[in-house]
Amino acid sequence: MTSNLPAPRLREWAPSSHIILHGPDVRSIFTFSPMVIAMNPDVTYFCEARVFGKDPLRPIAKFVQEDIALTGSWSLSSSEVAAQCGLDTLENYIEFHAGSRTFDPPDDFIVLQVYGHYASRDGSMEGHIPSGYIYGSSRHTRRGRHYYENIPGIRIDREFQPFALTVNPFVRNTRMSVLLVEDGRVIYEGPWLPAKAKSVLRWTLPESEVREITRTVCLITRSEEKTSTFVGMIHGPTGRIASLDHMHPFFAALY
Amino acid sequence: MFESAPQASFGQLKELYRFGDRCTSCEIEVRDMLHDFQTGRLQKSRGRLPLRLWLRLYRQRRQAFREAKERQKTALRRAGLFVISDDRIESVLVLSNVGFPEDHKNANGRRVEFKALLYDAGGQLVAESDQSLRNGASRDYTLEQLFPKSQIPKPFAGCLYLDFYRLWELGSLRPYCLFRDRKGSTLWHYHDKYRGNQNVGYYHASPIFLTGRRCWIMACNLMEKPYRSPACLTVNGQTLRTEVEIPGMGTLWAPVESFFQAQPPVEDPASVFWFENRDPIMVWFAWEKLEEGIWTVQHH
Repeated sequence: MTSNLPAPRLREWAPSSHIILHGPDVRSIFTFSPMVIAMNPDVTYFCEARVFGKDPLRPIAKFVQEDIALTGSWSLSSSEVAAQCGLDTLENYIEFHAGSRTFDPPDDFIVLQVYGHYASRDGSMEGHIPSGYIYGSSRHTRRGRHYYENIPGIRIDREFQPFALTVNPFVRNTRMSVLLVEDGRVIYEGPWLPAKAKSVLRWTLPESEVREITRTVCLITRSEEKTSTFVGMIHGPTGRIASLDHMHPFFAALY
Repeated sequence: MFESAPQASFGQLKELYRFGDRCTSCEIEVRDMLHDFQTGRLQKSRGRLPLRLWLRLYRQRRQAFREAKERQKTALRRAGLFVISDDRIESVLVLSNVGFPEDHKNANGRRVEFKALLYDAGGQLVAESDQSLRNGASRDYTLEQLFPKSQIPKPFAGCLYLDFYRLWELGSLRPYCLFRDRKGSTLWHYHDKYRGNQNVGYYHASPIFLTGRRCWIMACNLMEKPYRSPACLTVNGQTLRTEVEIPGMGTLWAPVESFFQAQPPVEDPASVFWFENRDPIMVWFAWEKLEEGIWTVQHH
């Protein structure tokens, strides 16, 4: 008797996680080019985007682009997504799955990332960030009882205040919290916050933690699952965004 | 599995036990667990092994630990960042030396030492200094603070390298820079992109043209020899090509549109810029929101 199952693939392209923001003052544009990781010019690539609402099992919108050449690109705007969903505003989880239907990843770089560009009329949200790894990247990273990410140089004073957008890409709920470390001491340990399945959690620095003098700290996120967090800072006097970047895990090795 | 061959490489174990063949996530996780095991961090059950085997494993692990310690004395971890200082903007280095939150002490000891090297756009070494950062510290350094004994020309665009020695693990030490405008309203983070000879994908950015924004390229050549490459721009469905050269160890800082003899469109979300030569360089792109002084910086 022969099996009808296809032969197992050695490696497969893995999805990545992102945030879609849309409203009267903000819009997002996601652009994908296979050149981000891929190098094979003899095949074509695909990119699939799924936007999730309250139900982690059923996306509220889905977009697929096939036959993208190695040096080609595909863009998806938040206006298209909002129109398809019938919504005026979006602050949702969006998952991208990009790869090639005919070409498996040749090494452990298995995620073709998609870049999100955020633009706003009032300057409150600007940014350009890659999608986050869901299953891990080709790096030696450390984990203990929890998953940790860190970013240095975060200001917590009247001039600049941080915020964090945490993406939970899994179909189960999880929890995360924020730690601020200064001179080796944890000066703030935030409460555990619930992050629903396939959703985005926004954290802002409590007013009681804003310092009157200039303070630079290391911000650490701690979560029960492997979430991805993007951290930014708002310029207090103007309300405009001053920074937005992704965090890094604690690396176990030197490379 | 690990105890059966404590010094085996990940590749050898993979071949022996066939793990990670079907799921790359598992492959990555097992590889990290092996690294933890070989550096003595992975907790294992006690008292189940025969004494003779336990002693053999103990000796092998001590030997592996001694060898790792020896490697640590000489291992160099280099990081690299584009830096700029002119009348509008300046780069500020930020570093955190924070131990892993569940460790009792920082794996890298009480302080971390590093050498900072500054190269100008032409690839000349213009300043160097020795620095240290104590356990738990998180601080920022302007170029003047990093190189107090050197006169750094103004305006300046170049590359900053940080050479870490005697690190046990990288931990939180991957450096970032803050892209700070002189008005004090932007502190944009961007991180080290040094990756030596590891060569993945192409240096590219998309979208280049967005309403009210100008896209700049920041590229640092990691090689002693010049980096020469065709630079390509797809805009309005048409691909333009030109040649770009960055001197050995030099830096490029220019608006993307300046390389091409074409009128830039107001907006083209599908516009893509890329270098065809994949020799090791570091590349970031910055979007300047004209008239408002907001900068957005990211690597690709």
